[in-house]
Amino acid sequence: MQERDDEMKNDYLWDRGGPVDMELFALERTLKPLRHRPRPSRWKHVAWGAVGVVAAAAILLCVIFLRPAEESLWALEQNKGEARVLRKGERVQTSNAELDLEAPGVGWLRLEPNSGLRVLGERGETERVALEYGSLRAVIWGPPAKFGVELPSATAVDLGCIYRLESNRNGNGSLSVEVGWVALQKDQVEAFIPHGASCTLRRNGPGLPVYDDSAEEFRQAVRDYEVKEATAQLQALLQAASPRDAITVWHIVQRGNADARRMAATRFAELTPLPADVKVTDLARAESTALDRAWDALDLGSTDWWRTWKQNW
Amino acid sequence: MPGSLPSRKTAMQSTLTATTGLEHPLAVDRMHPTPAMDTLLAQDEALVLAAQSGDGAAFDKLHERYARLIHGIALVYLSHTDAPDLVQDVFLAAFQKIRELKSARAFGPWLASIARRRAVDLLRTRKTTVELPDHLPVRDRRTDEALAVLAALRELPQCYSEPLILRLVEGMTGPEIAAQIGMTPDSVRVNLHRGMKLLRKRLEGGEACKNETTK
Repeated sequence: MQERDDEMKNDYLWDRGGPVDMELFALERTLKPLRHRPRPSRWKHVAWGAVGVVAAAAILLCVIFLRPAEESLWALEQNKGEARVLRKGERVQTSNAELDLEAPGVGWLRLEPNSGLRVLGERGETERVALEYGSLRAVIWGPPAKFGVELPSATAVDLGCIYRLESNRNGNGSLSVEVGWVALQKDQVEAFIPHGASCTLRRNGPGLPVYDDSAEEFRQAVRDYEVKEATAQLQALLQAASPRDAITVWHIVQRGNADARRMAATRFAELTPLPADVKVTDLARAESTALDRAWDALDLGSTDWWRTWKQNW
Repeated sequence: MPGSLPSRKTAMQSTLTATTGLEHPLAVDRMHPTPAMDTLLAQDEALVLAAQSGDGAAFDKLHERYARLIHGIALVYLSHTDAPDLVQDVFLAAFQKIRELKSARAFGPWLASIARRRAVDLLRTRKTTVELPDHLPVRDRRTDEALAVLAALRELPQCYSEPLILRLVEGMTGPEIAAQIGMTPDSVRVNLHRGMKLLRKRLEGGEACKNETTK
């Protein structure tokens, strides 16, 4: 007898083949502490016994006199499956190797070579780390906004996804989202980056989200506009935009000056039909209801979803 | 509430293709390609025959290959702190009795049955079914979360909990599980999938109950 339903097609459950099932991946990571660990052979137990006693005493003295900082949720994976829990405020740096960190109920991070990260702990209801330089890849299965990365130029708030962040010490870098959503925020500037899109990071904050498969002409026009923010560059950007690039144009409406908003709102309405009760003039003023309805018209999910986190418009 | 959150599962399952030139972020957790199961079983058979002739190194190798199986079976019945001891007990018993094994190919199922019997005996003796002994070293949050999920797994019928624990805790694949416990791949696959359906309901039900109590 064979079963032919969706579950039976789950190759990841069978042999980790096929697309990764994130729920299963999260369960595997959660259960990993209970996994069998090979025991050292008996003679090694005896040989290290005396050393173990001395080491334990030394550790106890260190604990008494040094009073280490509070433990964070994050555990650093080391050799042979052992994990070391990191303290709040502790720094982790890589040279030519990667390091993996994991927090129960939150997710998994891979700190790539030549990178530095600091564990911050909880800020409000969000578990935070700071990427001081370099790059990290995140796979997050906690609830939206449970996890965030502080960068020199912005804060990246996870809204449920897999993504890669890169930043130098000056705050220049990029964010690429592979699955789900990430929000970038600095002061009043916000960017919402969906899967398949990227966003530059600059010293003054997040750039504009752009789909990775947008035409090169459009992506170059975005880069030019982000550098100069001048009318000529904006015109070139809007001219090169296709309907799929409307999300980029929406962000210009949201954050641009009056002239930029007017131009962007007009172009947005050409790329994505606005609901009948939304006027381009209201959108050009970045009026909040008009922005909401324009976002809804992108068909990327209702703005009610954003309200479960936080929005500035 | 209106405009519910996009399904995390849907979003995350929708596209997980590796970016060109970049290793897939989850590749670290995938099995390295292994020889076909038949080849492994043939190797195990040779090891069993060698062990039956008194080759200690061959038995060590069998221990290395089957320890996860026995540890996983132990977790179906016993606390995670007792599981390693059961692994040692089972292999000690197997070492003493391996010459009695008539078919070298049956080593895995034979070992698994020893483990289940010993685990049940131990359970009856200790009358322990919960994971909350006081004398344990201080547990961290990771272990607590893991134990909560293990408890949900152990509530499932054993035909589901055993393969799921072997898969999700011990990291064995379906083909490995089938080969080592002596079931057909189809049977293991059905049990994994049925078990996973039930587990999802239990875990979701736990969230629903938590939400209810916090209203």
